Amino acid sequence: MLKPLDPLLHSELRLAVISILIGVEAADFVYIKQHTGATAGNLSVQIDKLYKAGYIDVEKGFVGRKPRTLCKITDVGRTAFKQYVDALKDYISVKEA
Amino acid sequence: MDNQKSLEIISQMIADTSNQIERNSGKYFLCWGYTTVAVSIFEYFVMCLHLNTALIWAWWLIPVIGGVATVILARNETPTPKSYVDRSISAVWAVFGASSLYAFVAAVVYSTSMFYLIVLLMGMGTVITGAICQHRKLTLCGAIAMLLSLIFPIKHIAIRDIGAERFQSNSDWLIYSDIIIFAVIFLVMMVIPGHIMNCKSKK
Repeated sequence: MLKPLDPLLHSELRLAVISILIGVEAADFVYIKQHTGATAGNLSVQIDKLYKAGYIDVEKGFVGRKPRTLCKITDVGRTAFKQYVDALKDYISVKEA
Repeated sequence: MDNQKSLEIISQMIADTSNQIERNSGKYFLCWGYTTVAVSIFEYFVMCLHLNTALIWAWWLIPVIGGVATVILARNETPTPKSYVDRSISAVWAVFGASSLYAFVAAVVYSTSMFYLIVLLMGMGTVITGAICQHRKLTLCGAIAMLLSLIFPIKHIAIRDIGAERFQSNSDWLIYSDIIIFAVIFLVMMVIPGHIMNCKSKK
């Protein structure tokens, strides 16, 4: 029986955000926006969904006078990502077989 | 979104983030490498031409120029997320940099040779950085530097056994050649891999 894919991560932009955050300590909003190519509005909405699910932490602060939003993956997010990748592997191995 | 697309996104984002590490490291190697080579060549001529002995303090230009340039380069960088690899590399260079500075100060205070220890420490730092970044050429250059560091004690023993007087009479260049060897090792250890890393990240 195949495990269901986490619907929260099975979205292009949210998966891209989590994939960026999995390899770093923290990434700011501008960096994530540049690398995902998303619009600021859409990215804010998706980040908010990940935050509400407890997958990421969001820290709002300032660097000099500029506002900065820093995103960091949580342990819950890390586990969810691992489970998502494991489920994905299962789907692919079944398809190949 | 299909499963194939999910995999593509994951691998693309992870690859983009890890590529950042290499893009940032090359310029720091070049900055410290060229500074050390330039100051060493300057000091070699100061010693050989018997210029003002106060110029020996110019060795301090290496940590001063290197440190200031590192801060400027870091400030001018476009803000990028710090990865665990970045933190590991920073910790490695903080420890090896501080140890080399300590070796340098100890060499000044006790009038001993600093070259062997500094080259060995910097070589170790380079090998570890290469291993963390999985950069084989950087690891190799660091390992070569560690091996070349043996030149200093071997040369010291050779001069002691053959007889220092024989060299001191008219062979200043041989006595001070330690400085040139030091510069050449830094060229191999930092400048060459720095350029390789920069070329690779530009492609």
